Amino acid sequence: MRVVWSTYKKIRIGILRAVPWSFMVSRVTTGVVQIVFPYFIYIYFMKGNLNSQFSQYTDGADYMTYIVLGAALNVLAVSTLMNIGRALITELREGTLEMLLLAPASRNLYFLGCLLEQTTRAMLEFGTVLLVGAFLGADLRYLLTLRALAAILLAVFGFFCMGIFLSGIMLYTRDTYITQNTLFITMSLICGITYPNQYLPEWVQLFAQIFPLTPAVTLFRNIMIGRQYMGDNFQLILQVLLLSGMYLLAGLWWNKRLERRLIESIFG
Amino acid sequence: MRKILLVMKAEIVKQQQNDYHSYFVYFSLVIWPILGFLEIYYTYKPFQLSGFMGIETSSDLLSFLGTGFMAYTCFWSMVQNAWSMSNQERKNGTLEITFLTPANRMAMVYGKALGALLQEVWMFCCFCIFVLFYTKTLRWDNLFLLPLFLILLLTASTIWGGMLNVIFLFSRDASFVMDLFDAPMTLFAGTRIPVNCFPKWAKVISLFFPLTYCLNIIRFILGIQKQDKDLFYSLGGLMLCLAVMVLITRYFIVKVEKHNRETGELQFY
Repeated sequence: MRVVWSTYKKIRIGILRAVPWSFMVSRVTTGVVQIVFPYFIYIYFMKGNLNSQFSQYTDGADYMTYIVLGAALNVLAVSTLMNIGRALITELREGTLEMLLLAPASRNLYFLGCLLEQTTRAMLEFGTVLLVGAFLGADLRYLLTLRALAAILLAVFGFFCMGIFLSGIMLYTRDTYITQNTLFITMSLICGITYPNQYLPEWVQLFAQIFPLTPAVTLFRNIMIGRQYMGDNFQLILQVLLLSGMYLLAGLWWNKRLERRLIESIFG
Repeated sequence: MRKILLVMKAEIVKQQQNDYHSYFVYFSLVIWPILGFLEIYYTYKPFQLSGFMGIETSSDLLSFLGTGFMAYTCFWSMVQNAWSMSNQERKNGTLEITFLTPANRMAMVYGKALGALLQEVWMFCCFCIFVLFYTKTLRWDNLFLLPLFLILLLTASTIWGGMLNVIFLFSRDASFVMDLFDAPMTLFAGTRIPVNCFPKWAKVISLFFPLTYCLNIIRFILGIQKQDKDLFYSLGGLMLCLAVMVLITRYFIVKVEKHNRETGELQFY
């Protein structure tokens, strides 16, 4: 527990004293833009003219609510993936990775500390986007229920596990810019953020299932719009958990191997 | 005249040698814009297209978005380039050297803009032109329109880029200008949603972006949005904008050099 807490403190102090506000601002802007564009199309251009497929795919959901929930969860996914995925490579760039690798603290607890620290920040971004969404007419009455909270926490857990895997990719390629942007653009294209992904070709829909965001966003919408319970969505929950487990195991295994190599190739 | 062209050529070659050193640039130059294009296209999918604003079928929509994205990419790459140039050249110290040479300053600034434009947008523009062919907006019988609107687009965005280059010379960290232009320019210049359906206040905002006029003219030339009487407004507006931007560039470039000579901060700030 000490490791978790000290990681939390270390990162939080770093954030408060040095830059990274620009990342937060840009993520919130991305989220807001993702709401504002469909809003303008919906209100001014198409004047509310939805086609019948939309209500068929979404069980008659309200368009703005649908968009806002998607965009907000996407922001949460992006910030969790970014903060967890970049954790180790940031240490590498700042020159503190060697100390971290030599310390007796467990790497899993280190990541838990990162998770704890980043979730409190990511919730701020999530909340801001939801607030803007509520202002633009989304119906968020069911946000403050236990099941909505459970869905959000499950989603964060899924993103966290994928983030650990992402951290391996980033350390391996020593690149953050190309990897993260390609991943995030792909996710917002195929995971059903601003439109139901049933409009996409079938093979793309299948491919989208490997991202925890796809089942998580469906679950979140089912609870918030369809007023369903967690128990009604057993399959989606199972999918998130399965994906999380796979990413987590693969990520941990890979990180362990990378660490050995890193010590030799960088610091050797 | 020969000297001016020489300066511009030098800037273009310099940029190419500076930027093209890895295959990764293709991600940001082609793959991301194409994925973004698809995302917007699919965002329209839940809606019933009704022929409002001349967009009736999904191929109308594709050609509308194709022109929008193409022009936007040209203008946006100018913003990005001006920002990264002002940053890089300061750090590398080349900014100071270029300002010690007798080269024409305006030619330098426009050379920078044109160089970036040519190498950064050609690939995505090929994609957009392919989209225009695919939707039969461009056909063999109206192929002569292609050079016409390419020249229009190149000229307008070069002049726009020149102005931004000069603005960024004032400060190393003007990244707020990026925020100012990214989302608002996309939204209000009509790159993805026709401006004509917006309420009054949004139309007024759109008048401040040269991209709006440029896009109106391009879409008129290609017959995507039919609105004959607006063409003269757009042409007039574009001319006015271009003239104002050249004047601003001219005025500021003298000022920024003087300012930097006095404060001696060309390298650092």
